[in-house]
Amino acid sequence: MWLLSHQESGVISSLLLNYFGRFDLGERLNLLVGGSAGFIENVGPTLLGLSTELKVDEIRSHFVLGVQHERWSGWGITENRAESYWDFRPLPSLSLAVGYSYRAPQYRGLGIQSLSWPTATAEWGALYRLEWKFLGHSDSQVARLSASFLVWNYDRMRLATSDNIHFSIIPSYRLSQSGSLQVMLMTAVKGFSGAVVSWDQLDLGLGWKYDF
Amino acid sequence: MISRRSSAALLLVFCLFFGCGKNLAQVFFHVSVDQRAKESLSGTIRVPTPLSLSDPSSFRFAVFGDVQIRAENKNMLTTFKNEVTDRNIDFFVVLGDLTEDGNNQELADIKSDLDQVGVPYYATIGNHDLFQANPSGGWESWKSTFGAATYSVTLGNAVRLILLDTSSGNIGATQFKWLENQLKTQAPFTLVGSHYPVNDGSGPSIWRLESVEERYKLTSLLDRYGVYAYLGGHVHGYREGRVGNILHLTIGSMYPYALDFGTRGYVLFQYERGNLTWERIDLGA
Repeated sequence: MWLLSHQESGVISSLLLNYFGRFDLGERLNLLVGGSAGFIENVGPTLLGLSTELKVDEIRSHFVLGVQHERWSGWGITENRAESYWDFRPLPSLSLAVGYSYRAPQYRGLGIQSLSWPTATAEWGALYRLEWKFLGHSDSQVARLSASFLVWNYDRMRLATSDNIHFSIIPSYRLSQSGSLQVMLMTAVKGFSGAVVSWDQLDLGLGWKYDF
Repeated sequence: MISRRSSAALLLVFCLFFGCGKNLAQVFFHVSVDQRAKESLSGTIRVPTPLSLSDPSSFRFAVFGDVQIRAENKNMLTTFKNEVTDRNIDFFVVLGDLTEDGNNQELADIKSDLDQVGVPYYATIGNHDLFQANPSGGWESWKSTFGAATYSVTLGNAVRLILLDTSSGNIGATQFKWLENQLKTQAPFTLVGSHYPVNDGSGPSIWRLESVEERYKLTSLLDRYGVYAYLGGHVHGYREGRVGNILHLTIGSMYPYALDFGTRGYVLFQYERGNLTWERIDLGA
């Protein structure tokens, strides 16, 4: 669960309450569920996502298929999208996800039409996420304090374009056997295609992680 | 901790991706889009003014982008000069990347080339004009050569042309606020032009505004105020379509070397007694 301040200079300034859950459906399968609600700007439900994760531990890999519905109520725009990616964990402190995404924006309001997948301005794109746990033991039960560095355009069911490169640092402090307090700082690069780099996206989040 | 070797590798990756012989300081530390927009709108630098058209009820204008002049390809607008004469074009618009490296010499050369076309023109800045190999150039030279990069002109009391500076791949707070204020004033036809397109087809692409939310907010604004079309450059090819209800034209390139797809050319608009029409003029490969 995250309380997230999402800022993009002059574009959006929102406060989001995000929930992400991973449910064990057996030895080989997980169900990932995500949801988000916005305050201040684009108020109301902003994201609903579902993914299935096939675990193949023999090759330190998870294979994920997911769909999401995101909405910007203040702008009357919604987006349906699908992703498929391979999440590879070569080291306990390192995970690398690569895959493909498909986004289908819909500009005609928030009603039933928002469930459609119009193709007129739909886009395919690359998906990636690198997470490096650079502080603390890989086993969260051992270390109280840990921290991760992420480079991504897909994380926690948020999908940016492949050239809108996001960087996050997530320090985490274990408060009990099952619960951790997390903080997220994120910024992102825009202007990649013109080799003129701009940094005007900034997120600050406070999260609570609980392992059942 | 990151080792010295890892740091060097990271620096090398950045140089390979972003450097390419350009001025790395400009890549990372250029004047921000907000600062550029504030200067363009401050009244302290020259802002292009509306033309005095011989017949305000009937006029033609061309829009193109990405001339990317270098020392070795000066005077590349010869074909376009003939088009201006043959098709009675009253003025033209250039949507950024007038130069390859944005240095003083290239900006002076393209200014001279554009002036020699023989009709007035409007221009906005592109990413190639903003960063450069030499220590001087970029935004400071653009300002002294062409003036503002964010402005609005209305031609013949009929066609309003709003040009935005997206040369660093973003629009930013100042321009979003200014754009909405501009759009609140009605005009028969409004065209919004800038270097980066909003959309670049369905395939994997990096040649359009990169922030999804920036693209959606812009589209929402253009739609709400009934903008006739959004015109973008940056891509060296021509593409037409709709983003929501908005006509979206990736306007076509005059780039003399390689095209991304299609042919070189421009879009010709014609205003005729209350009607605005357009066609793509193909200048070949």
